[in-house]
Amino acid sequence: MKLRSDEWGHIGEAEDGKPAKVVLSCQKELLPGLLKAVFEAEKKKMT
Amino acid sequence: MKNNNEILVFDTDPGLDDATALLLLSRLDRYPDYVVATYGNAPVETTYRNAVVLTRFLGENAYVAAGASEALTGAKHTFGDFHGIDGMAGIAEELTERTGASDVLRRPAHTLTDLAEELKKQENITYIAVGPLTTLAILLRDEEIRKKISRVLVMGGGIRQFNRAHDAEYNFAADPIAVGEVLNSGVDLTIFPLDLTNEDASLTDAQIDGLEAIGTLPEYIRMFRHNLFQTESTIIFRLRCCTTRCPLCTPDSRSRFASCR
Repeated sequence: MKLRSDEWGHIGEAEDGKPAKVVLSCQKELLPGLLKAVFEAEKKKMT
Repeated sequence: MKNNNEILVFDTDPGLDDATALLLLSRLDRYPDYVVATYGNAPVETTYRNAVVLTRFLGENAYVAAGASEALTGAKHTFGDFHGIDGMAGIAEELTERTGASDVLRRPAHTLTDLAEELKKQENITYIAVGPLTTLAILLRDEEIRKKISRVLVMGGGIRQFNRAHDAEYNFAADPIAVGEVLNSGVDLTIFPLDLTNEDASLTDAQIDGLEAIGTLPEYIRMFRHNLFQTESTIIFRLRCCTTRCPLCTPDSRSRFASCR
């Protein structure tokens, strides 16, 4: 199948070729936790 | 922390969100081998400068190249000031001085042509694109490079949520021709749409306060504050590859950040 995009970059219907995989969900609130861990690690390095 | 000698390319238009992505990749020991700046949040001259100073500021030693400066559509790109006029909430000049990177303002050390030749020497490339896809589309036109790329991870497009127009996402709308070429290139492609980012990958005012209380990277806090001001309630990142289900974040690397689970 082939994927197409229109003039706005929308993904059109698949025809033939290899379709893209689309990730539809993520781990909620992962980013704040990651950032906190990064900053805590930085703080440890400073002390 | 790399998998099977994987080469990591990060195609970016920093931008506060992408600056945060680079911070997290650095602390995950997954900093890209190649950072490619593209037009997007700012002109390529600006995003290239930002990519260089961020790489130096984070103590990393990546190959930083200047990528595409305009869309394949030929349309004139309009640059906003959501990320500040320098794309970095006004701290780019300060970081440039602190990192001694003022030389990069004159001309890029590596061009898109240089990068193309460099990538031909590599194998098993993971290519992450979090800005307009123009640079990637140009690279994929070269069959030799395409064969070197094992997988492509793209932040772009929207299913129900959009940020460029009522029905368009910024990265895809910036260069639809490039999007089409990438989609049809046959590469192993995973798309992380905007919908993933607007609800889950965000920081609240209280969370930023918490980071400030423990943090030792005031430059990043200033960037968060800037974006918080812009959006009034939350700061939104386009960091999909570290915060979502990206295979780059292995269970082992995630375990280093126990507090995030």
